[in-house]
Amino acid sequence: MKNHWKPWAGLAARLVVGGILTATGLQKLSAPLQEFAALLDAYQITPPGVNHWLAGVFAGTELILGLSLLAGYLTPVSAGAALGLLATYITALLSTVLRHLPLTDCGCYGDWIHLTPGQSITVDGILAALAVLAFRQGSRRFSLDNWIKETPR
Amino acid sequence: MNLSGARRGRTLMGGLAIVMTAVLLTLLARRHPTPPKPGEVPAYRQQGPRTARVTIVVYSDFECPYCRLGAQALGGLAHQYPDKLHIVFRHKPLMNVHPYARMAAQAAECAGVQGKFWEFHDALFSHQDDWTRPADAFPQMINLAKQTGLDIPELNDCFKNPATSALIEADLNNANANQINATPTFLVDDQRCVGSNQLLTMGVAEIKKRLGS
Repeated sequence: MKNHWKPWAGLAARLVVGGILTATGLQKLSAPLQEFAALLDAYQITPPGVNHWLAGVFAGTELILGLSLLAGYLTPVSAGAALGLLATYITALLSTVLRHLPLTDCGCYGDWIHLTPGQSITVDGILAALAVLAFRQGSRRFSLDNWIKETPR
Repeated sequence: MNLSGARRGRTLMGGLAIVMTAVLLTLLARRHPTPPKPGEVPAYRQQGPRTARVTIVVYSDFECPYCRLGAQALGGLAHQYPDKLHIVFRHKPLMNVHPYARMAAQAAECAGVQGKFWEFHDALFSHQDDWTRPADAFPQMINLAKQTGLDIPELNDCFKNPATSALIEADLNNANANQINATPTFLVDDQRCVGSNQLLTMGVAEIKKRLGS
């Protein structure tokens, strides 16, 4: 019975991170991409010319990683990539705080910013911790990985 | 088929299923963009000749700091391309984050009725830090109206008129129909630009293309 809960905790972590990434990715892709690009403009990290392209890449990556985690497909790879994506977002948010950029819950860029940078960092930090748990334990219950590993009859 | 071949096949099938699901979900979730609907806008909220080769519709919120930057950028373009741009202002107050935006929009409408929409528009943006403070938003706005030369009793009557509120609602409905979720959004003919950065890059490129310069 020792550590019997770990695979279930891994499954829960995988479903939470996967569900949130799927929802946010879909939300970004269903709206005009210029709106997410404008948010990237406000971060002042990448040149405005590439932000429209980056917006599509980030939104698409969120959706693919989210679905992969929900399905438990290549879980360690998907969870590791999700961790990388979240680390990128946390770094970007921290840089806006350090540079005193005016992103404080203005909402001016629509539905994308309803949390302050501090709140977003906290949420992303929790998701990153869950992604680590999914990386280590996420593929053991109800996953495509189990089906892939199954010995064909 | 050996074991590793079978696993490779299942891995590929799984990946394909994920990608296909992503594409399908995106297609289902995406609200199909329709050409922007111009709709009726009072003449006082329009600048430049209606026959101009480029029309810019701006969706803006007087309480939004990014809209202040957007107004500056748009003013610069109007100066740079005199008589070549038809500019149309539409209200998109983000009431969930900007408590005085709707009030400012209604006051601007009433300024428009008195023939001073653009003067009051400029005053609201240039004094944004003054009237967006909770304690004295309304008195500060009345001060601005006085400075702009507006008739205050007439402004008050207009402010209470349901027709004024209906004009803001019409703009909000139009914004919704055109998938405008963020401010400032500029429709440079068919080219959507969100924020002053996009206006000054993608928007200017579209203007140059339309004007052939």
